[in-house]
Amino acid sequence: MAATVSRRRFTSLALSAPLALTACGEPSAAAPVVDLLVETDGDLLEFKPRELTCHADDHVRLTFRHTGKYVNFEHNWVLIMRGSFDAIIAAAEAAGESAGWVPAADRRILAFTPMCGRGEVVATQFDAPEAGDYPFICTFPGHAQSMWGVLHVLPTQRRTS
Amino acid sequence: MTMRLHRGLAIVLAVLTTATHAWAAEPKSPDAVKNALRILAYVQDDMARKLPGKAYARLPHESQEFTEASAAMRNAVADDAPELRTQVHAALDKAVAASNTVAQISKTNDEVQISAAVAAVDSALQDLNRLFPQSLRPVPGQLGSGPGRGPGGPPPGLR
Repeated sequence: MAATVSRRRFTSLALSAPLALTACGEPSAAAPVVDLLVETDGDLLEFKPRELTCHADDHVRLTFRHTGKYVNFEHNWVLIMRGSFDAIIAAAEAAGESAGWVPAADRRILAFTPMCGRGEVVATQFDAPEAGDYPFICTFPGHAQSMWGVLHVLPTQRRTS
Repeated sequence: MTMRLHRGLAIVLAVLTTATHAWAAEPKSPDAVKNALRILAYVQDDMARKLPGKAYARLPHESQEFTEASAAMRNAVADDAPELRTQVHAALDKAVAASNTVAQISKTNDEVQISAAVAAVDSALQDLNRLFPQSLRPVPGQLGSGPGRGPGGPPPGLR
């Protein structure tokens, strides 16, 4: 069943996508575009899948879908630098609900979506960071303890075409 | 002597195992029940995590989520025998009532009272869990399924 995007969320998505592009720079003409999909594991406080993969030279278009049915949890998808988990959790809580639980202009945050509720879809786009493993989390207070995963960024691909 | 003791222990173990299976009913939709128990456990876990930071203002929100999560369990046993349904609903109502108490007590900002109220939700949830076979119950501290599973965030290398 196709997920619907509410008007509020669509506006949020429409606003956030250009911001994300601005933050990460325009994708270069040669940058391969990769589409990634991540969902909530139904109503559980978990991402599904918990591991995503891209290459260091990819421009990533990430879609996050809330597949919850019963509990009106709000979630987001936030890609962060290794070693910053505890600091980001504290900063997100300090940023508060009005900031969507995402601290403003924090260099340790590499990409993020807006918050979304049951049945909603949000998205963001970003240029993949250098090769390595990066945690992604939901920054709603308390959720990241179980709601986290890993983006594996593989070395740049040598393309012949 | 030792042999006889071992045989005696084995018989006691077998009787206990049989009795446990007899008390815990096998539901018609075990996957749905397992999922519902996990959802409730996650919400309760999230509620308990508000205590160390004294984020009591968030507890009414958690209580509301617990009530929402209870619908998953009601749906999961909707096709089961009335006897099991009645037992489950009674245990669930008790857990939801305990969760509502958390919301009310949270306004007092009294650490002792709030901790006791949250513990009561956990206790009511354990009563609900015991109505089902062990295989369907969430394993405490191992709710997560991914790498470095369980609550607590990413492992040290990523954290």
